[in-house]
Amino acid sequence: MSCAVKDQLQQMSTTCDSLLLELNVIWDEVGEPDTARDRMLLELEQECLEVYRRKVDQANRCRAQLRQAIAEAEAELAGICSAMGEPPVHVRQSNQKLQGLREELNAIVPYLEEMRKKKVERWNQFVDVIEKIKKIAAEIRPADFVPFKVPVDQADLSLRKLEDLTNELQSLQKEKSDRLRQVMEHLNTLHSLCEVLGIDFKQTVYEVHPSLDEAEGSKNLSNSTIERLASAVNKLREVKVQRMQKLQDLASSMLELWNLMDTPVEEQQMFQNVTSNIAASEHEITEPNTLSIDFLSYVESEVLRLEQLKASKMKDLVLKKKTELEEHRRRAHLIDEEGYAAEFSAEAIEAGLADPAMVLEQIEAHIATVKEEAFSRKDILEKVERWLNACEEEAWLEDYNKDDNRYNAGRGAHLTLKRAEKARILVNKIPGMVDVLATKVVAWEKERGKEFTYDGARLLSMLEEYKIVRQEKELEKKRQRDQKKLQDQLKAEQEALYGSKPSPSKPQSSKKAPRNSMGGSNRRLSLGGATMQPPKTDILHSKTARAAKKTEDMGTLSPSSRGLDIAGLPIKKLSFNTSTLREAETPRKPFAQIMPGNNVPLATVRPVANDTDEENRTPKTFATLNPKTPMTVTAPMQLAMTPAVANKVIATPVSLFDEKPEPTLPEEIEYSFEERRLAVYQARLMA
Amino acid sequence: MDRRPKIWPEPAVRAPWPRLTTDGEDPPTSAFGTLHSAAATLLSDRRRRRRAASGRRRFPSPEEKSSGDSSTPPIIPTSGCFRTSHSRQILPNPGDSVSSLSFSPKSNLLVATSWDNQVRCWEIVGGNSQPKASTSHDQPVLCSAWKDDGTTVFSGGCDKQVKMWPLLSGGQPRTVAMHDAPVKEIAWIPQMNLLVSGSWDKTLKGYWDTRQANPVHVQQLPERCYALTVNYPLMIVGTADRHLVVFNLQNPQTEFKRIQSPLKYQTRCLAAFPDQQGFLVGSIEGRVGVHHIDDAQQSKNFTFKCHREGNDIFSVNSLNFHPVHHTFATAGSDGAFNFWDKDSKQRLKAFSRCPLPIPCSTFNSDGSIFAYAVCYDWSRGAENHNPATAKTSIYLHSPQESEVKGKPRIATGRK
Repeated sequence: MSCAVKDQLQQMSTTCDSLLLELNVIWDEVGEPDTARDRMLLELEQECLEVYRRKVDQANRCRAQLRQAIAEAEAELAGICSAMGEPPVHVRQSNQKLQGLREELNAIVPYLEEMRKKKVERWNQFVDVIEKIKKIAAEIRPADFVPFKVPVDQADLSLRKLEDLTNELQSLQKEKSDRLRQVMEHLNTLHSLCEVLGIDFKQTVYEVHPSLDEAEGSKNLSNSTIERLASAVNKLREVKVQRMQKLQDLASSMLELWNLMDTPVEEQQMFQNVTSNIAASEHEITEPNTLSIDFLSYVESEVLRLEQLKASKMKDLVLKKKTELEEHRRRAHLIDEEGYAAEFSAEAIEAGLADPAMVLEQIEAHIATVKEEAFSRKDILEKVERWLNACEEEAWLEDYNKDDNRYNAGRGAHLTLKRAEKARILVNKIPGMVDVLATKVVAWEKERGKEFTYDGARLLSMLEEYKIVRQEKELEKKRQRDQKKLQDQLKAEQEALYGSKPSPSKPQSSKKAPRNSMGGSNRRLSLGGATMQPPKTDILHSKTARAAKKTEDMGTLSPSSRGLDIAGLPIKKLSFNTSTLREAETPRKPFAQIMPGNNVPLATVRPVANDTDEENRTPKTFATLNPKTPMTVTAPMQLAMTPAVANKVIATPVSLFDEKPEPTLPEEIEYSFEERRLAVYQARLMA
Repeated sequence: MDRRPKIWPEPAVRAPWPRLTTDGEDPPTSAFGTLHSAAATLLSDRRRRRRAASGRRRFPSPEEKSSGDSSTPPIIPTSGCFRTSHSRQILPNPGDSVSSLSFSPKSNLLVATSWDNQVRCWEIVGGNSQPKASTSHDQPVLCSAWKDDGTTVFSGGCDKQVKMWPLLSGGQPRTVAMHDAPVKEIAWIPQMNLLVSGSWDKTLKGYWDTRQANPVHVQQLPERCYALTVNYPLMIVGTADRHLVVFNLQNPQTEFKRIQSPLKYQTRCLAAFPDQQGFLVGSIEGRVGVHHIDDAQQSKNFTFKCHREGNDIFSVNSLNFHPVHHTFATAGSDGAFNFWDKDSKQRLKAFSRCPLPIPCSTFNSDGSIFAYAVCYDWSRGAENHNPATAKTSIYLHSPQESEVKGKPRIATGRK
């Protein structure tokens, strides 16, 4: 206690004493009884005691409070320290010299504050890390993510713990980046696949997980997402492989078709990107849209188009090959039975009954066999050709021999002479040729075991026929020679009688009938209908013949007709007859007049100005098709050349009117049956 | 040559109707025996004359043909009614030669025009004919045509008129067209509602439905009209001098084409193809030409001979296309009619000859009846016509399908 307090107490005690003295005085004065005084004094003493006790209690309580605060602070400090893993701070020990509880408290508080701050900082660190962990975890494993769970309690905020958490965070981050990379990879592949396949990438990704589509913001990186991504990638890859195979199929068929049809390069260029992928593996096809459905269908349509083109071209090809086959056959003078023609009919291909490729193969096979056969026949065919040529020469020679003017010197006569000379030599060789040919053919037939046909006819029989015809001809020649001898005799007699010689008029028929060295059977030429003789020379002859006839009709009889006069018929009639004879020789004959005494020139016998062959022109093909013996009841029309016989028309055309006794040009007017009938009718009416 | 040429020459053969053929030993007509055949012709000519002088008449009959036995020629009485097994006769017989026959396009009404100025109509029911009606002109009638509704008949003839006879309504005929010369051919063109008449006055006239007195159009022809055929839009007119004038009726005012007949002799009859691609032309020289209009089809043209016997050549008088099968019939002065198929170039059926020529024939609208007249057609002139013995008859033939249906060309193989 300080002196001031003692002084105070002394002062107080003096004051109390003085006051007591004063009270004593007062009392003395008042005369208070002693008891009252005593009581008063007791009261006073008690009251004083009361005040003291209260004050002491108060002080006591304050001290206890302080002590508790200090303890609490120390406890907190210790707690914080332990939580933070720091050594506890013993403020009391270090501050032994500190006096009083208050000072002690004051000493602890700053420590405490500091520690508290530290703790908050540390916590914040923790929270930060934890937040990050939570976020990553939410991204990685959304399934077992509990958003409100704090992974650590506040009691342990030590650095080690923090380190642990940080490590965890780091590992999570690593995992996340791994996954992210994975996802990115998947997305990249997905994107390229989508590009190639022409599928909407965003849509695909959105279907896998909506979060992947977002440009920023957290993406869902969970296993399931990755799995789904992977499966999506796989799926698309499968699709890609499928489509690629399809495209490659199409491309290969396209290439085939191009090769087959020689498609121009410009057309091919358009599909270069398709065909270039023909051998590519799945990962090599990266170009966008190469495998999109649109593109595939585009390529497919092109292939279809080419297929159709091919189908039509195939038909052409088949036809081409067919004609080639025919050509080969024709050249080899091979006539096949109908068979194959129907086999390769274009109609069948068109109707889809026959596969063009197969037909083509068959035709090729046929061509091969025909070629082979042609080769085996070549030798004989050459000989046949020579023989036929010789026959032709023979025919020519025969005609030539009949030409009585053949030795008349004219332009080119020496050439004809030469030709005749050569022909004679050739003709002499024919029998030998025929024999050689026959033996060859026989050998061939023996070897092959089948008949050697030439344009459908058996060559042997042709040769036989020829031999027979030749024999016949020889006989005829002989006969003619005899006849000529006879005629010469006759001529000599006539000369003796009349002293004139019949003019050497050319027999009209010498060149007329197309001589056929093959006799009755048609010489089989591969030219088909061309066997028909061109009638040109005939026209010329008939014209001259007609001219000759006209002059005869004028009444002046030519010496030749006079020569025929021996029959002793009236001159007029004879001239008529000869004229019919002459007419007979021309292919077109006018109506012959048969009524004796009817001298009116026939109205219908007007000379026809145009060429004589016009009317009788028949389709050449028909001439060759004309069957010799129709097997059916129906008969073919008589389309052949008008036979050169003197036909006559029963109709007797006459001029119309009686009042024209001398029709100046009776040939100018023709009348129909009805007109003539009417004329008679009217004449009767008038009569 | 001292005699003046007579216009109507004396008949060389005095038989009323000499249907002469060569004797039994027919001269062989080989291809190279030209001289020989000519001589044979001469021979047969002489023989015929001899026979004619002896007055023997001879008609070939189917039996004779088939048997080939000709040593005893059967004599078919000329007065008897000729009957073939496949034909039925229409009675009563017309009084003179029939000039045209036409069937109604709607029913089996048959109209015949004849030289006795008559136009007669029969109804054919189940093969039997019933006379229905008749009318007459002042002169011989030459042609007839039905209107497409089958109510009216047009007829034209030597009175230079065309008469319209509303047959079904029972009306009286009235003159609807006049020419300067006899009307030889008429045709009704339903597509144009037009009557066309061709005459020997060298014109072709078109009359609108006959309501007008004046012709719509007068087409000058190069010569007298002898034949006419219409298959819309194709019309061909055949005239004397072998002119053929082709009209495209879509442009009827102008000639489409004028050609010379592909045949060398007088045009006797015409028939347009059912497909309008061309026409048949028959001539007096037993020949029929198949001709296409288009020059590109010239290669398909051809001619063929028919109505000949041995060396005798007869006129082709009638050409009729079958309305269904598009084959055609020819009838000729030899008294025969044949069915042909131009596409397969075949004769489908040949019928035995009648004793007299067939001047005209026609199919009915469905082709089930072929009507033909058998009578003298003046093909041998007046001298061969004896009115006393001349007989005119009309026959109906029901063609079997096999006779008129075209056959595919016989496969002849390649030669």
